[in-house]
Amino acid sequence: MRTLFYLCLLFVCGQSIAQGESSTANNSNPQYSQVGQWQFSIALGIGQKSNPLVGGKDIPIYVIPSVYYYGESIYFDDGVLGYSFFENQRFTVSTLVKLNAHAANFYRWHPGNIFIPSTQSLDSLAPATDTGKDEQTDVDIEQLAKRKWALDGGLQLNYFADNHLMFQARWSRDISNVYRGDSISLKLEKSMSLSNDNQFQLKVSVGADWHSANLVDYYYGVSARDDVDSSLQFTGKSSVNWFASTTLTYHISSQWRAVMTLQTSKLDNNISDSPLVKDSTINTTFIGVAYDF
Amino acid sequence: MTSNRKRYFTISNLLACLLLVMSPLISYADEPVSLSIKPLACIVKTQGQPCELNVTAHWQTNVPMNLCLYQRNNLIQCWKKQRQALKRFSIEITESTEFRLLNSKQEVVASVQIAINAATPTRYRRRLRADWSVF
Repeated sequence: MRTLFYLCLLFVCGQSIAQGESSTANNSNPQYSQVGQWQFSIALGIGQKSNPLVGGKDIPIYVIPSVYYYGESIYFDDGVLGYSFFENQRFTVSTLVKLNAHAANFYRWHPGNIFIPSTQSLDSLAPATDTGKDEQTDVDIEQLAKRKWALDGGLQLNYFADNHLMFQARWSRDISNVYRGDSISLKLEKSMSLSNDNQFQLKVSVGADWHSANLVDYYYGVSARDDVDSSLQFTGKSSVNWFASTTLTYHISSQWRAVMTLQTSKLDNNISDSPLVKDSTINTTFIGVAYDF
Repeated sequence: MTSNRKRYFTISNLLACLLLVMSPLISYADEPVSLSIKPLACIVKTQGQPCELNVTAHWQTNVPMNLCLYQRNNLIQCWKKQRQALKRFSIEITESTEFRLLNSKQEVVASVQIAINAATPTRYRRRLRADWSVF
């Protein structure tokens, strides 16, 4: 997995050096949004999102909505509400609020289960593989104390090397007083055209998420608050999860696109060792067509 | 000399015949039609805002023609066997719109565009990407 990560990193950096800045800001460039205009898209197809928790049910994906709006400073992009207080050609610095995605494992109708999640969070598809953990040491999710939804607020820095390469750093903290922890996310995103007419486009992302001990412990720790055997108690520690994703898009017409996405994430041992978690590698898949309204 | 005159006469006859035969094939689309639309532009504050206009359309040609004026695919008015016509009407447009004159064969014989210009140019921002977006 780590080898794959470095290979991806080399690939995107190499592409970046080889490819100069060529695209311009316009409405045909998916990297840009027209200021002051809501954009709606819907993708129909087939995919799967599994739950890495013991006993967690996989969630099939047939419909993925997408909504975003960018004002002069404020923006809403698929569940993230932000305010950019500094923006130039290379850098954007924003404050933001968003739902923490970890609760999605415990609720069927969490937004993270309706939109396609990134591999940055644990609410993605887990394969049917088992880590070899003794099933008898696992706990029943139903016996656990309720893991609440949480609202995160934070700061985000976006650096655009050109129109095809973006680096994102984000710090966020629980502002809803639920888990009382922090997260730091680093992501490198590269988009490229596979054909001269820009019909075939590929987007690759790699990155890592650091989660504080409080976050890991609240969602994946097992303690006296849970109605389980005391021998199963587990204290969460700070964790770093690696992730990589790729999305292939084929533009059929100005409004229709064929979309395929694959995402994978490697969970830190400090999470996958939890008796609540059965898988340490998480994957998300989706293939379908998208329509822009 | 007589031979030359004969050849000239034959060529003239041939040309005349050719013109006679071709004349039905020469369409009205070849007939010059001048179409003028006023105003030709509308200024809005920002792109996408509607623009209400009182439009004057005038066309003229050398021979009487059957013509119809369209705003894109919407018919505004038709005229029969006229050399010129004037039409005043009101419209509301949100983007640059083409006006076309079509003859009875549905051929475009003239077209003019009313352009919409925004006082504030359309702005674009880079998307900052949500975690779960596949778009």
